[in-house]
Amino acid sequence: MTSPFDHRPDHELGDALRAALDAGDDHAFAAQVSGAARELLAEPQGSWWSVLEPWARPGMMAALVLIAAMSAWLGARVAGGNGASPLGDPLLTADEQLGVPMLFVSDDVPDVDIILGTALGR
Amino acid sequence: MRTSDRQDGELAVLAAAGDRDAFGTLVERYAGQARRLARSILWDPDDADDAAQDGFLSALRHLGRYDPARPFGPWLLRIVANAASDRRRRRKVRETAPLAPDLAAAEAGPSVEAERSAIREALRTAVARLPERQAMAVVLFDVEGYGHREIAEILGVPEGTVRSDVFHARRTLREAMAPWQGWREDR
Repeated sequence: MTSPFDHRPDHELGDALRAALDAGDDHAFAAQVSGAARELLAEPQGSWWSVLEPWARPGMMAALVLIAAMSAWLGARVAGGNGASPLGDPLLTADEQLGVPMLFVSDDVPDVDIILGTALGR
Repeated sequence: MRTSDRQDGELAVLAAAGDRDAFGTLVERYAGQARRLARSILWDPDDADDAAQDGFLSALRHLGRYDPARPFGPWLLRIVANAASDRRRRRKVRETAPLAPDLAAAEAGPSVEAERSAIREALRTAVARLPERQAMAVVLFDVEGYGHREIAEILGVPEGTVRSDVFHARRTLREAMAPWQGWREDR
């Protein structure tokens, strides 16, 4: 009899366990598994989509949230940069400040009257 | 070369490429081990077979991750062990009361085969009452002949833990089977 401290295989215990745990007819089991494997392998390639489909909606939502966040961040950066633009040259008169270049550097939407006035030479 | 003559690693590569015969040969080769391992922790034989099948199919799906330079058996059995363990967790495992030898003898009658059958039932009951990891460790070591290192790989525990599990499992099984005269002669 093998000692319980012996870490060599206990063949008597092993044989008894094998007899107790054997389910029998491994060939029938193997045939069953092979059949299931055939079905698995025969699945159409479209199954990729069936795997990805559940992720499509959360993925789209995540992409939209990301785009919105990036837009907001870029908008804030642009607004922040413009906020530091000069209000106007204090040495220029009011008329001089209405020159064409000012239309391009101003933050505000240009007034239609100012555009017309500038175009018509005031 | 016939499919059945090929090594496990070659068969795994062929199976990964869609060769059904190669996969079938691997299933034939490891069906017994996988079923016994699953049955060591799942009382119901049908449950054990379902777990073993789940393990094989999961292995087939993930054959691309198998390294052909390493032994196939431990890789496969780790998947089967996980499948059986998951199934055991999902199921409410039936409580099993140890079968008394005199009761079994009264039920089984005097025939030798009936006594053997009772001994196997008692041993299955004793295995079922073992902690899950101990049951798998002792079956892999004493029945399937794997070494401590391979079993450590299969069960995902250190080698020392495997040695301890095998020792404790053997001791518990011997104690449980002590009332049965001649249980070691049962084949």
